[in-house]
Amino acid sequence: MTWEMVFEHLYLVIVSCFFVVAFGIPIGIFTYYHPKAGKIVLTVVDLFQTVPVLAVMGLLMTVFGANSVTVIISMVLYLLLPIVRNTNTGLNSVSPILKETADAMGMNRWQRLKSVEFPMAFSFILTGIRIAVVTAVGVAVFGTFVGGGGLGSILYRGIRIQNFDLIISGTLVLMLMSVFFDYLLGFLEKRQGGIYEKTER
Amino acid sequence: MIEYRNIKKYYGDKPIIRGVSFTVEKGQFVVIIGPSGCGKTTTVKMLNRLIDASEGEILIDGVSTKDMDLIKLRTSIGYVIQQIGLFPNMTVEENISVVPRIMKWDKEKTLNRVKELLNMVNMPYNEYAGKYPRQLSGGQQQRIGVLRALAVNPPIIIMDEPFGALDPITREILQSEVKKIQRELNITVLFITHDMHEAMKMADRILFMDQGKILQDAPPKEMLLHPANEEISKFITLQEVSVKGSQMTAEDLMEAVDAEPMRDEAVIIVDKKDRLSEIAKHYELSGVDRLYVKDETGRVTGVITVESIIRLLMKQV
Repeated sequence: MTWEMVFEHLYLVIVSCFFVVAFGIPIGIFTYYHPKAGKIVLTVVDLFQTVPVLAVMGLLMTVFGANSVTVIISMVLYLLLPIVRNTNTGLNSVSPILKETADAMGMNRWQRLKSVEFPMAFSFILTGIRIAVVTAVGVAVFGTFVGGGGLGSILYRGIRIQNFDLIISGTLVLMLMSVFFDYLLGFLEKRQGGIYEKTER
Repeated sequence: MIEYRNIKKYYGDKPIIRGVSFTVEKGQFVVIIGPSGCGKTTTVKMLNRLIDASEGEILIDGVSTKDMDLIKLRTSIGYVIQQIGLFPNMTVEENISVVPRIMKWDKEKTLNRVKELLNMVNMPYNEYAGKYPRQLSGGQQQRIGVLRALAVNPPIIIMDEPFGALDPITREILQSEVKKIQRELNITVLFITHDMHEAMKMADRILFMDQGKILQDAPPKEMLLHPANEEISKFITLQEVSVKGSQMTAEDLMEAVDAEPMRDEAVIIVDKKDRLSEIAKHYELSGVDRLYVKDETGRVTGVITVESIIRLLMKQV
């Protein structure tokens, strides 16, 4: 195991999470504004997660080739669900009284989203991000099968040659990574939750 | 001036508001009161078009609200609800600045206004501007709610049971503050409550609503002394509201008689605005058992007897 592999793995996780957040939140907002179309979108996003990642990687490899792009796209599709769903749930859970008050003050839809709904839903959205990131650490392991690199190769090799130490060390590093991200995002989440009062009584 | 013209609202086939008409003059404090579900909140929310009327129209200074720009309409009407209406993700300063920001005031003007408003309720800027609503007491939160509504000096303010969740003492203080501010700034207020004491204290006029209709539209004292029907008098009696003796005038105590000039010299005639204390003096000094009451034109319009007073008291039991 080399540092390079660790960084490769981190690269896959961070880049895919960046994109999944960049796409997931706007999609989540869309599903909130258009509940009917949103239902379809949520079902599709649901489906993405039911298909095994490895299968998606295999399929996409035929288009994008055996490289990290294939891995990242597959991961983004797979990880959309927690973010889209939590954004949707978060926005829907904002107190209707606050939404109406925002309207009564004269806010337009965008101002209401930006200064009331999104901030109020943010701790929900952070939870979604946290789930996505931690899942990403595990899912990126499959990257090795389509030439994406990362720590998956350690586990794969360890299994092939039945080297217990290799498997354990790879697993430990992955667990460490998960715990680190989980803790970091959990910390942000807590801080976020502390700022706002839980309004519903 | 606000003018409701035969407003109706249906949800599906179900009528919620069944033809409401009334006018509110500039600077008037109008309280809408009634049991839960009577349609008072719906009626008021139609003013800033949080709810659109199914029929009829509302005019502000002669212009139909339907023809106004929605944002302009809403920023010109302050809106206060129970303290839950403060945005918990914003500081006191940010909450108060919401409408100035929508109206694109520059930073300095907004800042000065926030300071001025906080001063008005004795909450120093340095101490409170950076606090979040949850760090404030209920009374302070509600003060900020009122300030937020006042921020851009709107000519009209809607208050929907603003003090419902406060303890009696804080409520009392805030009522006085709001009434004082309203008088000083000559703001038109539509105020919703189900508390008759509050209505008595605040209102220039009370509209009593039930089942989507206005049952009575009268100044507080008149509603109390002469409720239009059984339901209103029951509502009043249950809340144990009464007019203080010191506020009563001859007009309240009398029973109407056909207007005619009095020729008999021996009778005592009092002015309809005379207070209870003066009327009592007449009784004491002259020993008569009836006093006649004259109006502005000098014509006798009523008579006060022991029976009329007892009947009046009976109504309030």
